[in-house]
Amino acid sequence: MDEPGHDLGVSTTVEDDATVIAVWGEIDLDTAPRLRDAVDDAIANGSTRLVFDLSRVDFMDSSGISVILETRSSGTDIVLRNPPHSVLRLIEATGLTDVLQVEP
Amino acid sequence: VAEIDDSRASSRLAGRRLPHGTSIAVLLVGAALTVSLAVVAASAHDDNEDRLLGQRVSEAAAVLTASLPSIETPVASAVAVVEVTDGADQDSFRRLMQPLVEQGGPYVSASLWRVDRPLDGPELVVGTEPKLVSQPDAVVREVLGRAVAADGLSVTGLLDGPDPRLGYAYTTAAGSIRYAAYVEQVLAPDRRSAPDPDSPFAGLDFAIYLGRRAVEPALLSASVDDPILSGRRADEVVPFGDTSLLLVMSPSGDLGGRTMAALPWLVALVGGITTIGAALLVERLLRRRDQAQALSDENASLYAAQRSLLQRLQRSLLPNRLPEVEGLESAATYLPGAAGLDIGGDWYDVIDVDARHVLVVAGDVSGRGIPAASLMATLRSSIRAFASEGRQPAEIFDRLTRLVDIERDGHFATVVCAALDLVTGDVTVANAGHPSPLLVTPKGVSLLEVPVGPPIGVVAKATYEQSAVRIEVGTTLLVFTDGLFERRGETVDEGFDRLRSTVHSERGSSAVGALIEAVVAEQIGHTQHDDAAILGVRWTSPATTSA
Repeated sequence: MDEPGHDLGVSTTVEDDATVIAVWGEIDLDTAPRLRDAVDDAIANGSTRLVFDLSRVDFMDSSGISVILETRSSGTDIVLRNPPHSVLRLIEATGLTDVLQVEP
Repeated sequence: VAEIDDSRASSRLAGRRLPHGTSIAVLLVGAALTVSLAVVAASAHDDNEDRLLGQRVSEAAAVLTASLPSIETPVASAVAVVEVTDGADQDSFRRLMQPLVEQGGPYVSASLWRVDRPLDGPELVVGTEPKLVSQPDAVVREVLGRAVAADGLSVTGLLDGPDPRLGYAYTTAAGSIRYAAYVEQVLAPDRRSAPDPDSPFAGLDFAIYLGRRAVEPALLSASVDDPILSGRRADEVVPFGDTSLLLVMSPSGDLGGRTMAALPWLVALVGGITTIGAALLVERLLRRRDQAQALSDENASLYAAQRSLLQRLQRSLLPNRLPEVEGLESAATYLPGAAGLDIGGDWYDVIDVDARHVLVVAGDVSGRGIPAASLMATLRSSIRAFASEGRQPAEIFDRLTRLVDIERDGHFATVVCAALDLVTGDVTVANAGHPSPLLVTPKGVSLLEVPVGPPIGVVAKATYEQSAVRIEVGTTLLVFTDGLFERRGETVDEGFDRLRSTVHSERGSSAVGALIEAVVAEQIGHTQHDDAAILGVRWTSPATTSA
C-alpha cells in the first residue's frame, strides 16, 4: 500500500517521566494505524505522559488528529512538541488550540 | 446473497470434471519414459542372457573336450600292449578292457582288430559283439582306415537302427603288425538325457550332434524332445577326436535369475504406478488450485456484496431525499472511501425546521465501522430533535457535547451547523472542529467563518460560539467533510485551497447538482482514500410566508 515518499517513521524513547514518540514523514489514513500501534505500545508499557515530537512531520491530516485525541481520551497526558506550521493550522482549524498542549 | 454465491461457487467446482491438460501431459511423458526404460531394461536383460548363454556353451564345450582323454587313454594303453608284443599279449588287452565293458562301465563292447585285415573281423571281443561286425564291409574298412589316418582317437557314429552306438577306434604304430582297439558306447534309444539338476548346466536345454550340422540323424543326445532348439540359442563346434561335435544350448529359464528377467516388467510396473500417481497428484493439485480460485472468487464476490451492503447501510443513514423547500435548491453526494470493509461516519442533513428556517448540517464521526455509523445516526437524529425545538447552532452543539464522550464512545465528531432564514437570508453558523463551509456566489467564493470550537466529544461541557452573516439570493452554501479535499502528500490547508479554487472555477454552475458534480469530479480522483460527503444548498428566492 505504501508508496515511496509517502511513508511514516516512528521511534519511541523514554525521557524522564514521559515517553517521547518521534514521528517523521506523513500521517494520513494509510499510515495512522502505525502511529496508533506505537501509542498503544507506549500505553501498554505504563506511560501516562506522551510527548509527540512532530518536528519532522511533513504532512498530517485528520487521521493524525484522531490518533492524538483518542490517546488523550485514554487518560494519558499529551504534549505536542514542535509541530510544523501546517499541523498548528490543522489544530486551529479543528478547534483544538485550547484543548491540546503544544510546546515549542 | 451468500446463498446465491455458494451455489454459484459449487456449480463452478462441479463444472470441472475433465482432467487438466497438464495431468494428461504428465501421464503421457511418464508413460513414454516408462516404456523407454522398460525397453532399455529388456534389451539389457537380453544382452545379458546372450552373454551368459555364450559363457555356458563355452564351459560345456570345455567339459566335452576334457572328456576325450578319459576315453582315449585306456583304449590307447590296451592297443599299445598288443602292438608292442606283435599280437602276442592279447590277455593284457582283455584284462585292461574288461572293467570298462562290465555292467556300469562306459562301453558295451571292446574288440581288437587287425588293421591290414579288416574283413576278418575282430581277433578278440570283450563284452558283447560290436555292432560294427554287422555293418557293411565298406563301413568296417572306413572305421579302421580312419583309425590309421587319425592322429589319435577316431570317432564313428553307428546311429541308424534301434540300437544307436558311438564307436571309438585307436591304433598306434608301436609294432610290426598294426592293431586297432575299438570300443562301442550305447546311446539311449531315444537319445534323451537330462542334465543332473545339481550340475552347472541345470537350467539349460542342450543337443549334441556328431559332426558340424544340427541334423536329426546325427543327434547323439538331447535334453528335450524337439532337439532343433528354438528361441534364444547358442552353439559351438567342439573338436572331438578326428571329428567334431556340435553343441547347441538354449536356456530353459532365465540365466540371470528371475529378478533380472522380471526387471523390464518391474520397471514397467513401477514406472506405470509412479506415472499414474504423479498424474493423479498433479491433477489433484490443479483441482485444489481451481477450488482455491473458486473460493477466492467467492470471497471476492462476498466481499463485494458485504461492501455494497455496508454502503447501502451507510446511505440509509443519510437522507434518502433532501426536503423540498420553497426558495431552496439542494443537492448532495456521498462517496464511499476506497478503504476496505468498513462503514464511514460522514453525514450531511437538511432539516426544514419550519417554513422559514432550515438547518444545514455536515458532520464526520472519527474512525470507521458500525460503532462510528451508529454514533453518526445518534448525532444526526439528536440535531434534528434540538433543531425542532428551535435551538440555534451553538446551543445545539452545547447539548450535543453532553451526548458524546470520546472516553466512553471511543469516537468524536466534527460538525458544522448553519441555520438559514429563508426570509432575510441570515445564516447563523457554529463549527465544532469541522472544515469551514463555503459561500458561493457568481462573484466569488468565501468562507463562512466562525470561531471553531473543539470537536464534539473531546471536551466535556465545551461551549461554542456562533456568528451570523447575511447572504444574497442566489448564494450557495457548500458543506462537506474533509475526505473531499484531503490528499496524500499535501497539507490540509493546501487541500482546502485546492478545493476552494475548484469551487471558484465552477461557481457559475446554473444548478447546485451540476456544481457538486463538477467539484466532485475535479476533487475525487483515483487517489481518494477516505469517505467524503458534500451538500450544497442554494437560496433561490426569499420565502413569502413568515413563521
